[in-house]
Amino acid sequence: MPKQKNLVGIILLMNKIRVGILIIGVTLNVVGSMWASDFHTSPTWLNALYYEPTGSGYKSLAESPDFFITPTGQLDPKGEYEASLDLVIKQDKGFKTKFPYRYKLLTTFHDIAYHPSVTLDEKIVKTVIAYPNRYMNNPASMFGHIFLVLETERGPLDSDILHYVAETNGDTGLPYMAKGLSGRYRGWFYRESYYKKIKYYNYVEDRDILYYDLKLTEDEQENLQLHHLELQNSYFYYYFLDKNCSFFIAKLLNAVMAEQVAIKWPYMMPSHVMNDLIASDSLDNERRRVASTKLFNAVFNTLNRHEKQQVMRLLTEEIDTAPTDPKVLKAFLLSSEYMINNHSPLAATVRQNRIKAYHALERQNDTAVRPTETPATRPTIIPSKVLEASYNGKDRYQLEYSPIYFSEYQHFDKLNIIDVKALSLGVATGPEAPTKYTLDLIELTNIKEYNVVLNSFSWTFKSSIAYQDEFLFNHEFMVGRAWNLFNKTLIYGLVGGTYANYDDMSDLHLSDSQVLETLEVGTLNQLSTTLKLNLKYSYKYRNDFIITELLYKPQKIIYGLSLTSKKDETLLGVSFRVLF
Amino acid sequence: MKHFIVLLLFCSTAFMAQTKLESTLSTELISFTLFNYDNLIADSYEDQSPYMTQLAYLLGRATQVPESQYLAILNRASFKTESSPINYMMALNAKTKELSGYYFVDE
Repeated sequence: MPKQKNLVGIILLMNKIRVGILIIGVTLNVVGSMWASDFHTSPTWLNALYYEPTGSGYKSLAESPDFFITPTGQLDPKGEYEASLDLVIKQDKGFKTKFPYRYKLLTTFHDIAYHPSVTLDEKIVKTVIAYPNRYMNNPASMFGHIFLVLETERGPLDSDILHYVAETNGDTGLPYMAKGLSGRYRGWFYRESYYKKIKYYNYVEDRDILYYDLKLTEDEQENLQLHHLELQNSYFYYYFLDKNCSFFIAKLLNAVMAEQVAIKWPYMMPSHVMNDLIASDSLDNERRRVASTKLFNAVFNTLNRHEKQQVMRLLTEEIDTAPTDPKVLKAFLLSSEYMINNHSPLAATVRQNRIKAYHALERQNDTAVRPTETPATRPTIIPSKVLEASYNGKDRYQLEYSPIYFSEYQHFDKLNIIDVKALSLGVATGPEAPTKYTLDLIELTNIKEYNVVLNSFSWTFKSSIAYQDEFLFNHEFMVGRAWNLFNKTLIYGLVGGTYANYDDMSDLHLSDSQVLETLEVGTLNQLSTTLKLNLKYSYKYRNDFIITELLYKPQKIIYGLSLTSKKDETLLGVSFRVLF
Repeated sequence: MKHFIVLLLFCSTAFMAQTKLESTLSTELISFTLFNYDNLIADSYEDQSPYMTQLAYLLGRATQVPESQYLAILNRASFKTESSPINYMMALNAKTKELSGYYFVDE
C-alpha cells in the first residue's frame, strides 16, 4: 500500500512538472514572439484599434475608455497589446466576449488555442455595400452616403445595415456646419434593420442607390461580425470633411479585410471608398435602384393636361372609381409612397386610392409598378473629378481642375442638372490681360424639374475667389423653377443676386464690391443620348448675355462649343471636360 | 381519465389562445407590418412579393405555423383592400391568433 501511494505521488509530481513545463513553454513562446514581432505596431493591430500616428506616437480615434482595457490604451498600442495578450493567454471570458476580434487576432498571431465565447450570426451569408447618391437638401448628404448590408440568406428585408452616423441633435444651418467642421458631434457605428433605413432613402429622400456585393472571404466575413461587436464599446468624433461616414467605413473595412482602402486627406467621400474597392476588384454584381420620383417624372411628363389632373385628383381627393389609363395609374402609384411619407395629411386619401388604382391595373393584368434594381455588366468607377480646358474666343485660355465634382452629366441623357463642384483650382491666361488664378470654393447647381405633384424648386450657389493683380471675389445665389417638356427639353428661370468685385462672365474687374441683381432664363435640350443643346439668356453685372452651347459626350470627355453674345460682340468658345 | 384529457386539451387550447408572443418577436412583427404596410399592399397586387414573404416568414418562425398559411391570409381580399396600416396589423393579429393561438399586439 505505501509503495502504491509513492507511485501515485510520483506520477502526480511528474504530471505537475509536465504541466509546468508546458505553461513555461507556451509563455516563453508567446513572450518570444511578442518581442520578435512588434505586433503592436503592425497594421493589423493599429487598424483594429483605430490608432493613427500622431508624430510622436499613436492615438486611437475611439474616444470611449470602454474600447480599451488599460487606462492609457487610447495612446499606448503597446501597453494595450501586452495587457490584451495577457488576458488571451489566460483565456479571459470577459475579454473574449467584449473584444472577440482582438482575441481572434492575438490567438492567430501567437498560435494560442482559439476558444471563442461569442456566437456568430450564421444566417449572414454576404456583405453588400450600398451608395445612396447625393441629396441636395442636406449639406452632409451632397456627396452621398455609404453603408454595409449584412445580408442573410433570405435577402435584404431579413438583413441589417451597418453604418457610421453622427448624432447631430437636430442642428441645422450654420450651427450644424460649424459643429460638423470642427468635430463637435459624436458618431457611432450603428446597426439597424435594412427595411427601416431603406424606406427613408426610397420614399422620404427618394435617392438613387448603387449596390455592390463586397468580395469578402469567409474569414473576413467572420472578422466583420466579430469586429462589429467591439465597435459597440465606443464613439468616434465626426468631422464633416475627413472623418465622416466614408472614412469610418473605410477604417472598418481596413480592420477586417486584407485589401486596404486608401484613406484620403484632407477630405474623404463615399466615391473614394467605392472607387478604391472597384479598382482592387473587391466589388461585384453592381446594380442600381432608381428613385421612384424619377420614374414618376418620366411618366408624368408624357401625360396630357387632363391626365395630369387625374393624377392630382388621385393624390388629393378620395375617388369612387379609379381611371383606367395605366399611365395615369402608374404615375399616381409611383409618387404615392413619396406623398404618404412627405405629406402625411394626404396619407389616408392616397392609401384609399392606391388600392383602387391597383385594382384597376389588376383588371388589365398590368400591375408591375415599383422600381426594380437594374444590374450592370460590371462595376464601373464613379467619376468624382473633372479637368477642364477652355478657350473663351478672346485670346483667353483657361485650365481648371476640380477634385470634387459630381454631376448628372455622368448620366448624359438626364435633363436635370444636379452638380456639386468644390475646391476647383484654375488659371486663365492670354496676351490681352494678366494671368488670373481662381479658387472656386463651391459651386452647387440644383436645376430640377417642377411639377404640381413634387413641387421641386431649383437653385444655384457659387462662391469663388481669384487673384489677378488684386484679390477678387464673387458670390452668387439664384432660385427659381424648371419645367420638363416631354422629357426632351427643360425650361428654367432663376433670379437672385451677386456680391462681387469682378465680372466672371466678361472677365472684368468691377469698380468696387457690389451687390447686383441677376436673372437667368434658359432651355436645356436633349438632342440625342450624347448631344445636348443649351440656350440661355443671362442678365448679370448689369449686362445682357445670350449663350448658346452645344455639348457632346461620346465617352468620358464632354466636348463643348459655345457662342456668347454681349452688346456688340460675339465670342466663339471651345471646351473639353474630362470626368474621372 | 378521458374527462381529464378533454379538460386538459380544453385548458391548453384556451391557454394558447391567450398567449402573447414574447416581446422581441411581437415588436418585430408590429414594426415590420407598420413600417412596410404600403409595400405589403403593393406586394399583394404586383408579381414580386418580398415584403409579404418576409412577413409570412417572421410569423411562421414566431408561431410555428407554415409560412404558406400566412401568405394565403395576406393574399385575401380583406387584406388587399385594407387601407389603414393599424387596421391591417390588427386584422393580421386576429388571424394569427385564430391560426396559431398566439398574438403579437393587445387588442
